[in-house]
Amino acid sequence: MTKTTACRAVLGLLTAFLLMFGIAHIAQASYPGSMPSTVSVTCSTGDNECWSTSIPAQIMNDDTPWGRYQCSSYGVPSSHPDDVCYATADNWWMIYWAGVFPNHWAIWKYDSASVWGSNESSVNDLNGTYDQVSGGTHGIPLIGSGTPPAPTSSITMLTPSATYLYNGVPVSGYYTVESPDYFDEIIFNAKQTDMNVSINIPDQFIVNSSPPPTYPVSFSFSLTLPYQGNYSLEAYLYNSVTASTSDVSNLLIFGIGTTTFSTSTDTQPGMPAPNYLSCATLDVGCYFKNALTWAFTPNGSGLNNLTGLGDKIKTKPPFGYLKIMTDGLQTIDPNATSSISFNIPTYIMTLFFTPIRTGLTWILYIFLAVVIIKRLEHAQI
Amino acid sequence: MIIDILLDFIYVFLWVPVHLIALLPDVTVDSAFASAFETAGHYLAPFNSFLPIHELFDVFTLLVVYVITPYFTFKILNWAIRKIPGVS
Repeated sequence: MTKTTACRAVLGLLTAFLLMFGIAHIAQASYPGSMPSTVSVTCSTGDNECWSTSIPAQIMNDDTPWGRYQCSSYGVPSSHPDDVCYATADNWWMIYWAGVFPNHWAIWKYDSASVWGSNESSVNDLNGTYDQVSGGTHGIPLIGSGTPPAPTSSITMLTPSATYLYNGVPVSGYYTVESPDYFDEIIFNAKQTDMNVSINIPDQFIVNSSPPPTYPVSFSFSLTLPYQGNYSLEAYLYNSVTASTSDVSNLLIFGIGTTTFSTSTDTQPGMPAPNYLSCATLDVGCYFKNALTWAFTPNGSGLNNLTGLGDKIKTKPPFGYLKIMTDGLQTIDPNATSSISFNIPTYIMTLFFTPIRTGLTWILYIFLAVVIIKRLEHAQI
Repeated sequence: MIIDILLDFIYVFLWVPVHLIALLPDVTVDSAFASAFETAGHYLAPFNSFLPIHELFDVFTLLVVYVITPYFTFKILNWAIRKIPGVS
């Protein structure tokens, strides 16, 4: 083997790895698991002390485990045991039930330079200080005092202790809800805990049905895991009841259970098992097909290893810039709400714009295919 | 079996350079970068109903992933390898 041939072989291997890395990256980037930049906190009952503000989502991501966080652990001298505290590098937040109404929650913010109890901002002072989040809402797990009562509901979640990448993971279990009047449904929140990436779960389960269910109620759904590593699955009781005609309270979220599991690293990542034929005794061709199947069907551990290598460098230069770029492009949401709208009659959309849009979409994808084919065609290996 | 051996070979070959790159600090950009994308999404949203805005950015993302990174990395490495004496 000449030096040139050896170098080109190495180059080919590197290119193959980059393509695999790209494929893996697309699979991750297309997952709608990113957190909003801010967390919307809305709480109102028609009372004049109702407020609306937002706090950084980082609070949820890094500083606050799910469930109650007692303020006393932050050195708050006058807090109630049931108050909930959050902390960031710059601010402290305390969320507490303000009484009177079941959904009447209040939030106090303290600057890092301030002293607890002497320079607090009241609820009304916060109103309007912070922009209402426009990228969606995210509930904060609260456990309040008084009303509503802290539920003694329970949930049992059954997941495999170790499973494979990209496979549908069966999740099943059963739950009991003590106060179903307060809650509409059970929602699940799954995330890859190593990278703190949320995983989409489309299934929700109604608990406030009519007639009332007989507890415990069984449930099951499937979870697709796009990343290697450790996962957590959390269950919340959720209340999305409209409190009045103009105000919406969606803050009553009670965590009732959590479980963890991880992907397996020593087995195949979701690839189908080799499909060996059942051969007759003298069917040589059949045996030959089975031999080819055995020779060329990967078990996936190799791809697992390469994916692991990609994970190590995807946030490092220069690959990190690619990730930021593609993640940024994926966050552009053309379906987001906008202050601008076009009132186009339905029949015009159906007869004119929809076919044009479909045609342009096809042209775009054909253009992409042509570009990639041309690039590969002119890659002088 | 054969594919596994090939993948394992690639893994062994890339292990050292990948771990050297992994020693570098994580890439960070200004937070305004992310908010700029979000703002752009809001301005583009009304047009998505009759123009394939979403698909346009999907295609652009694919181009970034497939063309800019692997292809140009390949070109750069190819250029560098050809500078080695005796390699044409």
